[in-house]
Amino acid sequence: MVAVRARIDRRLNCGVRSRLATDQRAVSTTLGYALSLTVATLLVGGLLIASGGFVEDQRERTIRNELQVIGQQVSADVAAADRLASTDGTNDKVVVARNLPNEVTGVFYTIAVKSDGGETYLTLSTNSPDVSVRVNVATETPVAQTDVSGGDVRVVYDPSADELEVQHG
Amino acid sequence: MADVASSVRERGQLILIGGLSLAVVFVALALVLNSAIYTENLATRTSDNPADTAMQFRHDALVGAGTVIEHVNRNGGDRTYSDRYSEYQNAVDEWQGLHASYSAVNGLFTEIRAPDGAGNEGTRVVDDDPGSNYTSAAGQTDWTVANDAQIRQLQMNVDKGDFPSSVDDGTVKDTLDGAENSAFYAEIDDGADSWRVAVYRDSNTDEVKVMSYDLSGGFSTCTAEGESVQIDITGETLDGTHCEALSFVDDLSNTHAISYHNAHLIFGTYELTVDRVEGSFRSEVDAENGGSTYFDNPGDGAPYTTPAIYSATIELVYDGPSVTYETEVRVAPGEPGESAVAPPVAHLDTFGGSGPLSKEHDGDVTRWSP
Amino acid sequence: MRGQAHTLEALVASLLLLAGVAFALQVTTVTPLSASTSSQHIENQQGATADGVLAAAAENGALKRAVLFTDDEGNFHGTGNDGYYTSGGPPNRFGAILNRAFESRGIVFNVYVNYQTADGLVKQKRMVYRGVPSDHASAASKKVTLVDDDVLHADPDPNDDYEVAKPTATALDSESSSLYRDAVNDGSDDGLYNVVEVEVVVWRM
Repeated sequence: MVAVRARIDRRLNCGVRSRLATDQRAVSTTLGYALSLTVATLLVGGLLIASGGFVEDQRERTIRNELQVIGQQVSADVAAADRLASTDGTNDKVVVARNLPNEVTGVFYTIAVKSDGGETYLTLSTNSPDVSVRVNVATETPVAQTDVSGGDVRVVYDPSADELEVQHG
Repeated sequence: MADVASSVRERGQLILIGGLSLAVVFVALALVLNSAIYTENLATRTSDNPADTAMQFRHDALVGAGTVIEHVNRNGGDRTYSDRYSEYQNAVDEWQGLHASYSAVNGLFTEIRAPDGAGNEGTRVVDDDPGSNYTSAAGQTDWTVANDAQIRQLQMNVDKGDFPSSVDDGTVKDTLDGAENSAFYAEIDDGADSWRVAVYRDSNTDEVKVMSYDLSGGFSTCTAEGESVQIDITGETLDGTHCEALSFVDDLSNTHAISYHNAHLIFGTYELTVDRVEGSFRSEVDAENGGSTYFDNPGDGAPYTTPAIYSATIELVYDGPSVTYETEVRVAPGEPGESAVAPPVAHLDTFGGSGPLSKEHDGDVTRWSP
Repeated sequence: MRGQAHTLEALVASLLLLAGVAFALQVTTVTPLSASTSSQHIENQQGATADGVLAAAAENGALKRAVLFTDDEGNFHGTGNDGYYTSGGPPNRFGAILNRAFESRGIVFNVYVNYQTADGLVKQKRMVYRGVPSDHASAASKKVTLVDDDVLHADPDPNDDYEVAKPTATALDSESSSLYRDAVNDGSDDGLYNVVEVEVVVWRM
């Protein structure tokens, strides 16, 4: 083995430059390693970025869903308070309270009551990611326009002003 | 050889890191979807409308106070109004104690109060002799029962066998038109409109029937089966079931006048409660009829009048885990035109889809459509 | 050596991945719908139906007549020794409403009448008893106010399609009656006899 190698070496030793020129081994190793490293990194990195984006997308969808559910529950509470406040006779006090979760998927949210024209609606929104959901509210008594942060929510009837108000607490 | 070995180690670590981070991604995904499942589950739980139990309590209190008022009015001979009112207050206190025990079991605090001076005095007109006809104390067959007053709880009890004669539908229609005088009818006039209600025994089917006429050509009939029949005119029922012919009662406005015609053609009992004080009510009706209309005391004869509670205001308090509700309500059992707790459903249509419904008012009918 | 290192790394990576997936699947919320054989929705629906039945019966007076549908000793008409009905609703309008709402759907019901005694205890009188309710039963209740001169009711007219019970002449407050009370003539004398609660318990057969 060594003798064969020595003979090849001695034959090649006459042309050092040509030996270097025709020696592929060093280039292929470095390039090969660099290439495979790069490709592997790209693959894994690409996979991670895609799945990260997927999780983020799911999170936004989930937040939207949860805000829808919470919005419907608050709307139902406002409708219930409206029903009690619209009964015959003098209604002195109507309070409908509900415990809502403080956060949706780890993000704080706010509930805003708005009315434009004849329609009253709730807007639930979070800051990051930026999600906003609108839920309609159907009442006979007018509802005051307020902003409430998520958590425990109360719908209170104000007999003097004959309107409902969504409050914190 | 050295860099060959190191490249192997680096590539292997990459796969390891890739696998580890993917696992972390899956766990994060599971956490996110977890909250989605939880929220969806929250959404499908009991549609616990918090107003339901509060409305039920309100209804129960109204019915309870109304029953007590009726009992207080029916009994005790010719007691004064204030005697009746204080007995009513004691009974409401007892009702409150009993109801509060039931509510406490469900974690609710309920209270009903009958404050002093929160009642309206009225008069109760009664004919409780089943063998007597519907003529006045002086024997008049066409007479005014009440004039320009608000009435409630107008009920009649007749026995099929007690009618002096049976007539057929055509004759009754003629009577209501004014052409004949063959059946008993009561006329109710609220100043703007008039209605006539005839109670008779049908000669063809041999059953007690009620026919109403709105003086512009519209006749409507209900039939009662059985021997003894209870007609609740202000409650629009015949023997406990709804009678379409009496549905005009919904349109009665505040005060009305009631008169009986051909009162000798019907035998049985009746009662009604009027919101006028006994003294002035009796003198006004006597002036209208030109003679003595009612006896004064229950023992004297039929019909007679007694002081009564016409209506009262009660204060309700309902305090539950999520709803607090305090209100003052007026109790007047059997008053016509009393608004329902929930609107009656006229028509039900199903359609698919999602999204909000739009509402439009059509007179006093509200239509919801997608 | 190189091959073994490769394999080891791949094995560990895949094990980690599988463990992560398994943990993620296991962490999923268990909802009430998945834990029992009877769906929570069906229970809610049955409870709401029972509420509706009681409201309808109370509205046309059938509930009060059914509560007073007893003879002088306080036993419901036609029940024999037990004192309660065991095969469906009572033979009056309230029973007709109950049967129509529940019997045809394989839903069984018990009806109790709860009343308070002078000591404040709540006693229970069975009107309909079809057995011990299952674990997934739901209940609804309604209060009925009874005054001293309410009368007991008897069997309805056989011709009457609506099976409305007929009133008798025996008042609640009469000498021999101790219905919904601990003893005869127990309680105060201001006209209110008692406030009873009619409770309907429904469950799937």
